[in-house]
Amino acid sequence: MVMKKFMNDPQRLTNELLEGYALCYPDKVKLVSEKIVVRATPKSKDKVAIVTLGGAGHEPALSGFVGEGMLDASVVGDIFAAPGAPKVVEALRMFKDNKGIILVVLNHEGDQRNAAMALMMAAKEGIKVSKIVTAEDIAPGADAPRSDRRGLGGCIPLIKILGAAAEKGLDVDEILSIAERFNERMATLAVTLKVATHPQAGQEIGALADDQMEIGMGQHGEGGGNGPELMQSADWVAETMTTKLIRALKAQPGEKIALIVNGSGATTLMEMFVVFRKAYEVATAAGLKVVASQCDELLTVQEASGFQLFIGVFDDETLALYNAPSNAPYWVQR
Amino acid sequence: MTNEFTKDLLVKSLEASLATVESKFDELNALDAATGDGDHGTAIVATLKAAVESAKQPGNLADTLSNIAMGVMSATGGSTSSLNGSFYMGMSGGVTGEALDAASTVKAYEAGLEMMGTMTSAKVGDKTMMDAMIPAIEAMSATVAQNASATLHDVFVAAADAALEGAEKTKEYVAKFGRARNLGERSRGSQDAGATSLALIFKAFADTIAAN
Repeated sequence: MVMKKFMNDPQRLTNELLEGYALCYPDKVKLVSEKIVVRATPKSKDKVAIVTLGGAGHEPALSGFVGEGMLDASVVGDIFAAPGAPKVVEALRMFKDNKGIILVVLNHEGDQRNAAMALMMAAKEGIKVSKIVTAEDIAPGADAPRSDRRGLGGCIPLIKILGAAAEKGLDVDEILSIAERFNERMATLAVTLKVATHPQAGQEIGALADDQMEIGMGQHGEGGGNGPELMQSADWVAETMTTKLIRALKAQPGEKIALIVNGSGATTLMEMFVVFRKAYEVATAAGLKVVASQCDELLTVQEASGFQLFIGVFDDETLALYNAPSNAPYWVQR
Repeated sequence: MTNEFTKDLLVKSLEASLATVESKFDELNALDAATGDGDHGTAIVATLKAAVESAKQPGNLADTLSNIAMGVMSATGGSTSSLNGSFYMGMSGGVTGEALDAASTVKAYEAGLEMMGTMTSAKVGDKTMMDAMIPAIEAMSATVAQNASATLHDVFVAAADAALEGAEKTKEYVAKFGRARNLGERSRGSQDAGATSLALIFKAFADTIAAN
């Protein structure tokens, strides 16, 4: 099938989308050095800066979450590709006089390696950076080591908590200890009905027949645990996925959770609500208290159709931080 | 046929590598799309363009390799950025003059591989570019170890042959790294794009040495 997208020069795609984004929210974010999105007004130096890196093509992730209460900077690579280390170091340098820097890294090969190289280069310049890695995909199985799990959309609720903790003026160790508690207790599972097209290469990523879906497919259309299976109803998919998430998290009756349906790009809100209804029912039947919820596009994969289902288990402190104010363009909370 | 690895030879070899991968652009993207996100051709062309541009900047051989490392990492992203960058960074540290003989060239390449090892734990059989890189550099080392009068050309022919063989073997492997890892058994049968392009690059270096 021929790719249909509103584009100009494919090689300028990331630049142009970031330029448009910064022009759209000028009171909140600005674009510096072509690929670094920062807050329009930087936070005070006596607070820890929260920085992340990642490929473009997943909008609003991750730059949509730069703002007061969330990220200080998002370093953007090209489409689906982590930024090179020198660009990450350039961003880290902007916060070298802050109380500290925490770099949020999603567990993908490119993000991890380029972050490692950036940390090595930053250390040579005397810039101290702490790292937190998200790896909440449960597709490889509940017992799979963290290194085998991908970082999916769960980074966004985690960034909400990290950002709010940093805003309170806590130091790096305090922020990390809170955030790691949530990081340990969040899980995501993705399902795909139709794969995305790489907007620069023009090719479909992965393959799924018209009557197939794949539970566990990653956010670039790469395969998941069990391979394609026949399409099922929304209720069947929601129940299967919610049950797996609850089991993986070992969530106990009475625990408070966030339940998020994150659309992949082509899945309608109509479908997300239908899915959410059943996921909510299953979670509630398991005795869980849904205290935070969203059906929205947080991390997309072009025109892929499908969604990521996310559950995060709160304690009182992480819940309060999750509900703290944010003015990030794609997570406004008062 | 030259027997010295110089800055001039490096520039010419990188230019030849760029021409080769550009001619296989669609093929490399298609190989990558089988298990990854279909952008390896794009990534490796950008890498070599940056390498050529950086290599032409003023500086001695060691500085040039270091400039290539920074240039490559600045111009590219994704999983190959820091791998390629670390290779040139390591090579830069292993260079001992301006005109390297075969044995000194092999030492520089060994230093490049060593630095790469700090960025990835991928080994032969994991279906990555290391399936071409590791045997290529082992073949270089073996060539100078077995024959004290081995030429620079001998070294790069051995590397190109080993890289090609290594790249072809990736068809038999199940991916252990990168996005393809999540495909498990289904990644068997397709050839790794990174290993394939690396084999093309070693061949371009060998051909450039023969032509100079």
